[in-house]
Amino acid sequence: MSAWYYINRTELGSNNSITFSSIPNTYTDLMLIVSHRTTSNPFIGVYLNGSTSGISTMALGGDGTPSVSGSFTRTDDYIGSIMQPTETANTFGLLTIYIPNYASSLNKAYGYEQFGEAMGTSFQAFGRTRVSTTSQISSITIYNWGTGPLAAGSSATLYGILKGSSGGVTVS
Amino acid sequence: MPNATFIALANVTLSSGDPIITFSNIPNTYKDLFLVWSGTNDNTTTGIRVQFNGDSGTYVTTAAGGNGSSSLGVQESFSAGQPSYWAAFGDRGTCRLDIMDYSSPNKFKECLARADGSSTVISSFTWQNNSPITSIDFYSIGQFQTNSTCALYGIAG
Repeated sequence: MSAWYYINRTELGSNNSITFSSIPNTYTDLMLIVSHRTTSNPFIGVYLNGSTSGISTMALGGDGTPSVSGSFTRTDDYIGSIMQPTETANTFGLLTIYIPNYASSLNKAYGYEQFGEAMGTSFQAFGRTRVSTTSQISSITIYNWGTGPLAAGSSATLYGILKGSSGGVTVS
Repeated sequence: MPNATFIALANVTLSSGDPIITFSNIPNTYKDLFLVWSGTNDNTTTGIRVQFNGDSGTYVTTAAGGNGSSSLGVQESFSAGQPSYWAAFGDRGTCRLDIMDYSSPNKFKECLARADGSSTVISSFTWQNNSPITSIDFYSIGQFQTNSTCALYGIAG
């Protein structure tokens, strides 16, 4: 029995942000895969349940130069950089987000990895974002944290992961 | 109907503090394993260790990490894999392990880890043993706290 379920996918036909809403509480974890590019400032933001408060991020990032690479913390919904207009045309960056226990009544924490493509300008980051909410995650928004929207062609796919048991494996 | 490739094998939600979570009787019918932990532990300076088949032999970990003010790059041989190295999880975190070719009888086992808590660490560790993995000890230097969860999945090849 599969534990990985497709929930929904969207691809922007015009410049915009992406929001998944009405996410059911029937899974254990969520996995989000985003292909991103922007029309302007190269920053990406993510927030849950329509709120940009109560967020803290701890991450490692770098662009290949020692002066920029290292760890960083944030207390907003910025999580990294995004493919920008100056980078290779028709090329999109990658963002993956794994949200364990998204329907629990505990505060949420998710892990993420974010990659660009362009030599010399791409910023990569991976880290963890903590969100102070005891509510089920029912919506996820991905947007350009700077000015301007995500570019047409950006896409996102949401999967649900369902825990279970099989194969005689035991846990104690 | 396509074949399922990502299969839930076992999971636990801790009802009280526990220093170790053990998955046993893992069949050799998958290609890779995926383990995900979410929760807190009570140790503020160090984090999580992993042993396969109860073996305290040689595990070589290579890690990069940071806590917002300092960064870490390290390679170390130890008696357990160290997916979080010095990352702590007092502030609720996650740890994800991709364990490749776990049932191979003729290669050392490689694991890619991402551990995110009060610090964030990406690492890989190699268990220098050819034996197929049949059990995983996922343990804390302190204790995993109540409501911590851990789940194991098999990925078909």
